[in-house]
Amino acid sequence: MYKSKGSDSFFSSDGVVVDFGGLRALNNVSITVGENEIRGLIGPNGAGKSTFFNVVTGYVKAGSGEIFFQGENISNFKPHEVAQRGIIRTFQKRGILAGLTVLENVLIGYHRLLPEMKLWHIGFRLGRFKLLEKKAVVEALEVIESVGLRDVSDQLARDLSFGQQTLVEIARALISKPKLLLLDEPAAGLSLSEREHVSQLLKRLTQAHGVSLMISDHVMDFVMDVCENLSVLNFGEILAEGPCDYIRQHPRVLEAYIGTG
Amino acid sequence: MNRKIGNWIIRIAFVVGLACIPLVTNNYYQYIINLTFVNFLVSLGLAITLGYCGQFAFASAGFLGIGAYTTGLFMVHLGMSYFVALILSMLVSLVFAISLSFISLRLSRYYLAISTMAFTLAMRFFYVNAKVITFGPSGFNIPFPNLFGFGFNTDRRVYYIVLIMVLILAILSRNILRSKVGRAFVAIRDNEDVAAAGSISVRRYKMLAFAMGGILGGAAGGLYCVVLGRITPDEFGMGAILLHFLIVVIGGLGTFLGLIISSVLITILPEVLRAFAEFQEVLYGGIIILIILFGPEGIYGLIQKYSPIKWREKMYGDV
Repeated sequence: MYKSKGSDSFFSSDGVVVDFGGLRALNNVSITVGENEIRGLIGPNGAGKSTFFNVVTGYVKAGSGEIFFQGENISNFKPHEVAQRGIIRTFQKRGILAGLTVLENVLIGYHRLLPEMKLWHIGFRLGRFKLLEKKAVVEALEVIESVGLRDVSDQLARDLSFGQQTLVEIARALISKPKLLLLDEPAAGLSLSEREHVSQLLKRLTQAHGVSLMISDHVMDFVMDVCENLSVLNFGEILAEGPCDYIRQHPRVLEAYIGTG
Repeated sequence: MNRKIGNWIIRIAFVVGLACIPLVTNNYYQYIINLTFVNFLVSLGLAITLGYCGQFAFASAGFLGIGAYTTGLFMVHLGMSYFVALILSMLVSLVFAISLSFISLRLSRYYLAISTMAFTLAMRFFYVNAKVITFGPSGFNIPFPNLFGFGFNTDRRVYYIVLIMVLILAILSRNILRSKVGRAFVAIRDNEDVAAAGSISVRRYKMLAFAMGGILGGAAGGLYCVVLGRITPDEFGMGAILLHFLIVVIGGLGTFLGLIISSVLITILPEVLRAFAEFQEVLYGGIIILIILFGPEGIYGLIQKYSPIKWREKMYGDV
């Protein structure tokens, strides 16, 4: 499973290298994710988890190496092109749009599904516009309901708590019907009960939507609760890969997390 | 269904009301009202690029000038019908807007502000110096528009051209803003990375925002020249940039209702204050400072704060 490389797998990065000035943020990172797999990406702060998400989604250019998604080489894609293919991400610092309500924030995620809504449909309020827009709003409200934000759907996203903003981001990602969902530290900054809520939600929703998931986090309990398999990053390199139980006892992982005496 | 019919009755009453305005005005009032409409239209263009899309582009006065000069010069030099010239001037302005949008893809914030202002001022210098084409600093008279022998030779008659153009363009703009396009603009304003993660092509939507600003500015210019009857380069300089900026900011960045109210306010205020002669400018400045002090989010913010009904402009279509 971890050996398959290149264009035949669902998602794979192949020897990705990213340098920031003199610092090598990612060194020869190869990760393969299968369809409907829930993969955790763990590692200490600064290990390169966010950089990996950034390079996959086109925000950072790889120095070398290639990224394949459903047989397509997406290494040089721009962020919106990656998103159009169905790789949807969230942001570590919560990518909410402050001037929009919860509903409108979630509707941004629906943008991916509206390519056939053209400017003239919109300008002249043609039937096509009304049809698609209604479908968008109805589905957005459903997703908002399912993450538990029904009561605040008309509030500005900036007025919500950090935990609720996390849910807004997850709802926005889910409504776009992602094929691969990258969640960047969804548990960071959440209270224990919020964390529990998010982990229940992710398990439930991924089963319902049939989506592959990559979750980066340094909260081990959370990741091990949600994910089947883990990849461990340390200093920009893959340290170990495997099922949660295997990783939990892996000597090099323990060394990286706890240190050696 | 009843609400729908009710909405249509309100809309029709609104338009009929607007169409009846010339019945109760004299030439001077009518001129001020025409000016208000033009200011609203050009500020709407600025509100889209600056208020909704968050691009620091101060080219509205430049588009206004291009619209006014192309319309006027096509009529004077080529003997073109006003209405054809008006449409063409919108296209010319659109071409300039799209060219300018390429700058916005490379520059942002202050640098974009400076370069777009430079564009506006460069156009003004062109009008001043290209005397053979533009008649130089003293400007030129605009012939009356004429449609199948009917001359639009009074402010009241010109009003109907202005009204129809503004209604069409404002409704189209409003429809476009209350859709995925408006949402994309605001997303780009609030956070470009998040917008792109929502599969929005930041590049394409920035260009669209500029294009809308260009068309609206060009159309406003084409109307402006007949409202004034005579145009000079000074109409399209720094003063105009500031006026449009003021209207957008006082209205509340990125709101439709706020923009309408502030266009009326900012256009009429100096005329009302004319009675105070030498204190006119001081009072004008003072009132604007007060508005900004009490409503830093503009008139729209004030409405939201003090209106008994909780109401917010939606960014999605009526469904």
